[in-house]
Amino acid sequence: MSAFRLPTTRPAASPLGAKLSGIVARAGDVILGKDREIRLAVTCLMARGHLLIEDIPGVGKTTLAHVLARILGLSFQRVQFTSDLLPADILGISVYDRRAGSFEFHPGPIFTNLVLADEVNRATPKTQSALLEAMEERQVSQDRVTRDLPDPFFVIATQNPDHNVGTFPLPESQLDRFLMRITLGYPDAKSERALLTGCDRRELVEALEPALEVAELLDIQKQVQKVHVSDALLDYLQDLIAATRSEPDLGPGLSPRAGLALLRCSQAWAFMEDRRHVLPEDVQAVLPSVVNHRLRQATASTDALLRQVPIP
Amino acid sequence: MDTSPAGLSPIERATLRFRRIYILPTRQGIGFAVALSVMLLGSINYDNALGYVLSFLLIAAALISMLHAVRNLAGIDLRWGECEPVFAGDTARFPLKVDNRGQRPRFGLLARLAGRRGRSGEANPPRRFHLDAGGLERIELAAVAPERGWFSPGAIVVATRFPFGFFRAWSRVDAGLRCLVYPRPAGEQAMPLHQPEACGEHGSRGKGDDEFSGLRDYHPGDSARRVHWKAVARGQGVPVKVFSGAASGSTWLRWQDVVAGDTEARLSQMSRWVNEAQAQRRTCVTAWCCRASRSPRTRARRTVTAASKRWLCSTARPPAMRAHPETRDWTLGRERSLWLSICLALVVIPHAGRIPFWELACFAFLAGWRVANATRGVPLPPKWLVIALSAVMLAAIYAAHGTFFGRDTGVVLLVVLTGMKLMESRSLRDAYVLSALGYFLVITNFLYSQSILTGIYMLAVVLLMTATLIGFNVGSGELDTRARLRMAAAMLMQAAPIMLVLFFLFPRLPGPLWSLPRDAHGAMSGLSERMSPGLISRLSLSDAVAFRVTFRGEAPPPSQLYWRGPVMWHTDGREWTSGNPTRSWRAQYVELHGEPVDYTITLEPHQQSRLFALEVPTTIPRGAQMTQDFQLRTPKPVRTRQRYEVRSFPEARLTRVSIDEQSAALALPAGVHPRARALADSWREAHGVDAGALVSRALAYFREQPFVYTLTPPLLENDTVDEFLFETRSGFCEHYASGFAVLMRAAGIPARIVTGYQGGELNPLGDYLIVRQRDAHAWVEVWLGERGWVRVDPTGAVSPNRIELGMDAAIPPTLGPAGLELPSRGRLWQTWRRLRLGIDAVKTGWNEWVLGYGPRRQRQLLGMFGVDSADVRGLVTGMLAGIGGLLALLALGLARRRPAPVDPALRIYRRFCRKLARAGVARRASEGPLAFAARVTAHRPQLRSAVERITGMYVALRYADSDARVSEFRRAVRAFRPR
Repeated sequence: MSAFRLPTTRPAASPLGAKLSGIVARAGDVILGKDREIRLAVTCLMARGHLLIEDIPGVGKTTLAHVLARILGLSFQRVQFTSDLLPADILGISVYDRRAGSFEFHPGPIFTNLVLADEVNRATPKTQSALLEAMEERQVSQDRVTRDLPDPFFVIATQNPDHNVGTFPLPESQLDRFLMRITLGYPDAKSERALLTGCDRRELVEALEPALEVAELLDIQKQVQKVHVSDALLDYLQDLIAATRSEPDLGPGLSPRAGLALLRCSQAWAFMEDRRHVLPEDVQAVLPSVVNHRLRQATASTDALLRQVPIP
Repeated sequence: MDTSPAGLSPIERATLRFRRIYILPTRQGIGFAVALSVMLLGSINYDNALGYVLSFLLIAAALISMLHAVRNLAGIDLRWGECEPVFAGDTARFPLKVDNRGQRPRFGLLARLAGRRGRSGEANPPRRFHLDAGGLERIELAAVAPERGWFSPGAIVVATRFPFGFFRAWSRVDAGLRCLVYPRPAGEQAMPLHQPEACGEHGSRGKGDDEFSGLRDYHPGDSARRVHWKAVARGQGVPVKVFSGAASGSTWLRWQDVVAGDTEARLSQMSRWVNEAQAQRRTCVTAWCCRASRSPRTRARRTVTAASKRWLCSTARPPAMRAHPETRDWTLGRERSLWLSICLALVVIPHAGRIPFWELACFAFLAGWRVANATRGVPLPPKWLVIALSAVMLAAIYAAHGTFFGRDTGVVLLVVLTGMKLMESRSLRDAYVLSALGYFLVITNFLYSQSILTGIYMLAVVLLMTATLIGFNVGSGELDTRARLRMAAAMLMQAAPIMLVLFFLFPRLPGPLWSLPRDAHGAMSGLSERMSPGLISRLSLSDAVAFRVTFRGEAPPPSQLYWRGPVMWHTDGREWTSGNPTRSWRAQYVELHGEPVDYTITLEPHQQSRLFALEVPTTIPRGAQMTQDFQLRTPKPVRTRQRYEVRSFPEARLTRVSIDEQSAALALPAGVHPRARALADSWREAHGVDAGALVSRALAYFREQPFVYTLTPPLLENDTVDEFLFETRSGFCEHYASGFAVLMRAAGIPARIVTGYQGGELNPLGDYLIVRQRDAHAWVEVWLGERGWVRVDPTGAVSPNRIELGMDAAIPPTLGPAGLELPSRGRLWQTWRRLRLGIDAVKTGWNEWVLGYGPRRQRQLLGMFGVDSADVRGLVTGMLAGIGGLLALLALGLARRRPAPVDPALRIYRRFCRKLARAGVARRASEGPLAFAARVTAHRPQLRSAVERITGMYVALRYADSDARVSEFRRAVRAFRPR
């Protein structure tokens, strides 16, 4: 889909756009054959959203999170979620300091730019909700003190599909906090061969250099919001949302928040494509990732949806 | 999806479909039909083309309003819910959800329940509402519940009179609505506060839900949940668990406690107790321990049981009485009366010059009163004053005109009575009468003027009146002024094709149906039977068109364009009059020479029994007669525009003269023109009887003496001819003609004056000749023995330009539009002249196809379509078929969903996609522009650059925030040629 570029409307290639392309390319060197997924992941972060990666163990979920943290030059913490993990383990805890004679707050691993919440569905709902609340508010309230999380703040959560034993599946309301959900899937034969013959992924990750300043990242996030959205495109977007609401297979349909998320992701995708306006193709590119975890029975139906709803 | 509001559980629904919508004319519609037929009759009688147009337009609009009325209802979705129980005599309110699924708003809707109230037969009050596009309205339909029991208020009726109120479309939905009605609370007895024991074993323990207090035997009707099933399993019969609870505050209301009256009264009393108990927030229990004597109406008991059960279960209070919502809007109201006043004033204004001032002032006063009432709240006069005023006005009109009949008086009467009606109108019914009167007044205007300007002005007025009519049938605030006008314009436009069919195919009857009043036609000036000095020069100031001529072949040169009119034989020395040559013409009086000229004349009405034709006419129109001096006479004065065909031989000779004529053509009154006679005598001595030489001599006299051709000659006081010939020597054609004729007669040559028109202006736009009053002319014919009557134009001797180049060349007109002085031959003048010719060409078409459309034209038109003979029956059949077909087409068009306006860029892009589809690459509906372009270039690499360029432009136009130009995109797509 991205193979084709417009000759006439293409603006002068912006340095930020070029950098983003570079980031995707370099991440692609580590995670082989997953260019599209990497692109989606970066899009999600550029749209100031949290990312949920869902797949079976061992397809590179954690590696992807690692790669993104390194390459974007963000401070990084990893929390392995288990069933006995407590909210304080993530958010931090106030400890009595005998010398000072007062309670002192010890920030948890969440006080960082990028949190990798590994296997988020293994923790109890209580712990999950502590994380998700922090994700939504971008701040942590404890002991009647509200502490802001650093900016930018991203959560990349990974989870195994629900049917695996010993998990607490995230309820719909909490899934909604994630802007996108992507799946990685198996690599194709060629990539897998390269993977098998190549060197250790861990070393490659270690070797990655940050490609983006934090300030640049914030700048991109601002610019993404300015990507032009025409009335014609909004018509299409609304048609799509209306279609999910009338389709009985898809459950209750998309919420207005989901519509907003779709718009933001489309803008970010368009920005990644080095455009300053959103096209229907952008919406189509991000729609399954944005929408699937918000609908009951999605995967097959969203493709059908994209085929059925005409572009006005 | 299911978001039913509280109190409205949509248990059932129905959609109003086309086949379930009925339509019938309303009383207003029938009244309007009568008014329309009167209008049509009037138009037929006066043969008033614009009257026809208006009548047909209104008929067509009324027919179309039927479609609009049905469309206004079709597709509305109804959902109804349950009604809260009420007491007998109260108003039951049935909730109804009306959903407009369509893309257009619905106006002026009424919903009510079909059942009638009680024995009085009064209909249930309707509820008025409207729906926006895709809008939803929650309404309540009210009906008074007559008696206790289950009350069925009948079907739901949704109706509309939109747009004009001439038709009422409605649909009934048998919703099976019903409402539980409690007995009316009544009675004086105080509420008994019973001990529970009073009612036997059931009361021994307070019933409640809180605590288990024991077992008792099963009675039919006990809840299965209370059955002690374990005991049942043990084979201990069927015991039922009894619970005790906070039953101490409960009140027992028992049938036998009611002392008074029959069953109904007792029920009412209990009903009241229940109400009171509820007001005190007590738990109440109605009890039936001791059965009432077998009630004759078992239904009564059932109802009370149900009622008490409900009360026990719910603490909801019965709905309170509320004021009625707005019902049918039958008042005239401020806005509507303003609209009406404006319309009527606009339609009366053109009458300003035609009816006396005081009558107009009357109307203005009455209309002003109404407007003041609408805007300032000035009270309207009482009825007796209205009647008295009407009587006074009628008397005044009779006093002024002496009659109530005739065109002018009729108009006055209509105007003044309309004013009275306007002032006394209070209801919408009056408003309908007024709007019919308004349309009538439009037609009265057409009796005076049928010009294009009048037509346009009246069309605007009709548009406004139609918008007013629409305003009668929508609630205030449903449609703003612009929307109303737009809707009225749309309806009139839709009516136009039907109007045209009616106009062209309606059987045209020749002649009036009844005798016309004498003043049916306006007076016109023109040439007449007498010619006095100054007559023609007065005419020459007028630009009015006398007639228009279309030549079949080449037009003759201007010097041959002598349009013959009245011929003057007699003179009293000052004035010339025509004789009465009754003998009609015979063919042998003419020697035909030269080529014939065939042409058609469209003659403006001039109130005289005369037609004009080029000299010398040989074939004459049917019905006309030719006199011996070659005047064309008609049996009746020409009161309407006439078209006739003539063949003339401009070079023919008139070779006969009778003895009477010869003597008439030589007669001069005794004792006048002594100097002229002396001059003629002197010539006669010089030339003898050589008539030709005498004529030349006379012409030479005009040429050699300092004669001046002018429109403004000095006043001639005594002997006009002598003074002109020998003193002033300046004059107009009539002076020259009479001077010449007198000289000829004095010289013994028979001479007569011919008046008529000379020349004309060729209009290149319509390729026809316009002859105006300013082309009026007079010339002389002299009898030259064997050469017959020979035309001599002395004016030509003085001012050859007048004959060769026409009036404009001889005496250039200098009056432009609105009396503006324009330098002649200047550019401005030329522009004005060209403009005037253009306007005249339009006018000619208007005259021919609109005003002059009659039986003859109708035949001609049908002939153009290959229908040679059509009788009235055939015409009516064709007309009805045409109307039916058009209505069906329109209905289809109206039923179609209105497409959303399309972005021009998208339209052009679709064209591009169609081109590619024809070339074998079709775009899928869900395919984005870039994806499609990628696919096209994959299939057709040679199209790459064009497709990328066009796609780029499309994306820039439709999705990007750019100021790209559509025109460039359009050009690119137009130039795009796949293959």
